[in-house]
Amino acid sequence: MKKWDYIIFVFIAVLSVACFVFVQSYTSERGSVVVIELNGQIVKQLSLNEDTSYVVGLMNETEDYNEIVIKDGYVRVIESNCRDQICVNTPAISQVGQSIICLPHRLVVRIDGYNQKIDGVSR
Amino acid sequence: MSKRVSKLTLLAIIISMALVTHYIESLLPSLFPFAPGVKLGLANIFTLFTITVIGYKEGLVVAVLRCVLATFIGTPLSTLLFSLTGAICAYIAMSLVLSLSRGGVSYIGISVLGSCFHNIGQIVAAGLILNSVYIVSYLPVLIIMSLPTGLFIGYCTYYATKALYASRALCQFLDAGGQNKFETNYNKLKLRSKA
Repeated sequence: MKKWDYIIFVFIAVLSVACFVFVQSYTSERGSVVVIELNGQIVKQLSLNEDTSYVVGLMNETEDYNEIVIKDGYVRVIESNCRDQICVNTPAISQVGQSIICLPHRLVVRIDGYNQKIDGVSR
Repeated sequence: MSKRVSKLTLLAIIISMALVTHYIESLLPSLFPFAPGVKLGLANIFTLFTITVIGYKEGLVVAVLRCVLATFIGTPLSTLLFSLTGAICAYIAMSLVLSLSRGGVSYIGISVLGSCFHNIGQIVAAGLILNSVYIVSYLPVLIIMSLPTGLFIGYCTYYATKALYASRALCQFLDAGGQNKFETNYNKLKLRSKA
């Protein structure tokens, strides 16, 4: 190990702590609304407090789909036919600002707070 | 065989090895189930090797061609954008630290920085494509995981280079200038300053 190696290690440690603090600062509050976005557009909003499941996409086998489950105030993607399965492996989320991403399907499941506008479907 | 042709052959061998490694890694299950999306990035060994012992220009060629050619062996086209952005970010970071540090860095440091910037590049590309800033919540875990993966890749590259240097297997591919560069760079980037 040489001098610059240590500089790089410290740089990475500081960078990740800074990122962590930054992310924590807006994910510290418990959310209430689950927002589902496809290609950057909101397709569905669900309440975080009601246990339910929702399938994004069609079920005719050739189509991309992700099954999202809300249970006990936590959201997770339990099933998907995407190739990397990152969305399925992401732990359940519950805080404002946290998200589950499925890159191959361009899907973002994120959580909003109480002060957000809730549409008629979820209330 | 002219040295020009042999250098071309060497690069072709490196790129094809990188491609196969990339493919094999995509077949393996994730090593870190608690951190979705984190992988070792074994193919980065070849970019790192090329940058450090052959040259910056050749390193860029390896990094870009590896990503582009990966789309021909089954990686979907949509992944190309992420992997390309990541690979180019990693390439820029690694070349910068290599040229700025003047020998004050080893394979480990370069590799860790490379894998960190690979992740940052991918997240930025994904954020732009998804048109969503929420993806940054993945960043802290990806950055901290670049330490172990970067360490592993750095050690792999170091031992591979060491073996190649000891066996003189690369001599027939490189001209006198290239051999000199290989030797100086290898000695410069060893884990300890004193051999």
